[in-house]
Amino acid sequence: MSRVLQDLVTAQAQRRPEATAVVSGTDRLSYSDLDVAANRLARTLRAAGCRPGDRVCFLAPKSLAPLVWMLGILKAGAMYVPLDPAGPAPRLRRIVAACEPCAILAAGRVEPLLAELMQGLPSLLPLIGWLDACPPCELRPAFDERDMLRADAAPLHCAARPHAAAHILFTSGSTGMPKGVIVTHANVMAFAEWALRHFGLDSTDRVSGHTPLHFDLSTYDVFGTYAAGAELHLVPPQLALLPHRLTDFIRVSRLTQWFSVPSVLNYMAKADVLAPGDFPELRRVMWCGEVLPTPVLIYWMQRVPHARFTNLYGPTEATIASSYYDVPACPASPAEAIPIGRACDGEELLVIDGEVCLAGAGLSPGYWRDPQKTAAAFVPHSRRPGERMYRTGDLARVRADGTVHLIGRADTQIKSRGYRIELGEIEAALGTLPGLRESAVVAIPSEGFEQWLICCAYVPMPGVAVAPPALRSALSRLVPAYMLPARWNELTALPRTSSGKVDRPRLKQEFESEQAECTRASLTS
Amino acid sequence: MHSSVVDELIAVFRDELHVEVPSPDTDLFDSGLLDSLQLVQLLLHLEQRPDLRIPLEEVDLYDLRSVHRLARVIAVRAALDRGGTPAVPRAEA
Repeated sequence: MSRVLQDLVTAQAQRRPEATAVVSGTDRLSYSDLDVAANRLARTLRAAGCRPGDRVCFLAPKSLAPLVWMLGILKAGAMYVPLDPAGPAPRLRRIVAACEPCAILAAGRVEPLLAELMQGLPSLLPLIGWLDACPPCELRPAFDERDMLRADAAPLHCAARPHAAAHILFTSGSTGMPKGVIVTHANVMAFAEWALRHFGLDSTDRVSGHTPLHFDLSTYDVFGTYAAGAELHLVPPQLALLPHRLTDFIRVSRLTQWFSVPSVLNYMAKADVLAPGDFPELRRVMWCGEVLPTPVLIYWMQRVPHARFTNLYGPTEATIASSYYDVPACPASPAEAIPIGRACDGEELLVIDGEVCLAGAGLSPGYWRDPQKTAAAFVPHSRRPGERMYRTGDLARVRADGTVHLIGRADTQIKSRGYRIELGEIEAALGTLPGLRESAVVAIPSEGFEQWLICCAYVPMPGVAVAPPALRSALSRLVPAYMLPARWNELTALPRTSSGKVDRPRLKQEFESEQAECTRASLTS
Repeated sequence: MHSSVVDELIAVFRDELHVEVPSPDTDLFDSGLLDSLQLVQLLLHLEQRPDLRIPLEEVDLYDLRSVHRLARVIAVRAALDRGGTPAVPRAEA
């Protein structure tokens, strides 16, 4: 089989050209519109000098435009690198510097962010493609929307290479430098085809597009939809603030599939915004990225008994998800643990010395231009010489009945609201701030919907007054908002172990007892 | 007027969320100051303050965009809770 991701759309455009592919607010694109616009972009990119194997970054708020771009970039034989439109600029600059794109495509309200990120980029600046009305002249776009509209709509000839990289997704890196995970066409295709068979997705499906495009899970929303010829409904990011608006969105869009990180399901349950028998057309609810608390699952299954509930598991390095567990019936007890289930077809899930290792069709070729990190995480397969497997760092227990249950992490990576966060990345950023002599970041379990609270202990330079709001604000210019600590403690010195290392367990204990104190105070007030 | 509510909200942002809000009219979304985690933290802190209750089921995104707008929602809710008619007009200034 030699299909590549863009073929999915071309096939639908030939079969059902007028069928809706993507909906965003009042805008919609048919499969034919999508295919033709992507053809024009592919030609525009080629005319601007982009060659197969080149990288093209894109920066835009969630809308129809970036969906066209992903496809157009693939049609030009290049790989796409989504940039978080929420910034911050220095982090995006490191990503752009690492992947050396031939172009950055942009639209919407990202002009100041783009201008800031372009400043201080090392030599060989990428071209700017401003694909929106009114190109800003300061950014000196090499091409714009008018060039794209003038381009020929016929497909560009480009050899299909299923094992070529389709995109690079950057995740948090423990040393402060985000890691770029390379994902191939075949990686995504394997999951999309499995999901199509397993869930029975078809052209009558209306699929949620909740996850931002710079996260791995969105790849399934997008290409799973195209594979089925279904409709993708982009969920406006700001609805995440209002649980009752999210449920309105599901009702009005008549979604048949909801896929998100667990914190979103948790948020809606905590706000109690579901009615019994709600969302009559919803066929399946899926989550991935972290553990969904069982009481929340029970809340959902009682109110939406007609839907199928599936726990998916797997890191970006093994593409979207590697294992699944279809919850057979509403759990009898809130204490019941939900397993991560078994491997999807073509994938392999192993527990070796308590650590989850993954192999099979979803396995990424490795980290972008980082052979050292690649060799450390993608190791020789324990049973099959010549093959590789990925060490996830997730710790698991295999029960007597063969089900696999996650029990924690081997390192200091946490998941907060589905975001993968290396505490080391936050510490590295804090280390660059003036005014601090030293600092340490730990995470403690939270009873809120985010599951972990990030806590920072810091020691100011002698004679320097440092306040948490100023620290938070300085840090927010270096790391994404979801990495900002919620708790800040000023100390005269960090606690040390006898070997001189920062005593993190003790710091955690201190933050935990403070947290318990707060909870008691709010219960008695 | 609800200026005291504005001051109290700014104090909650500063002392509990460690967020310095530059002005009551600062757009909390565009400036990245308020995301869903921060909003939930804010609501948790406000739950301990009956005088600053935000009726989440009645508000729209529009009402969360700035400290001024949040203060208006709180003032309207408080007036209704007291059984009166809101002294603060809902229309945007």
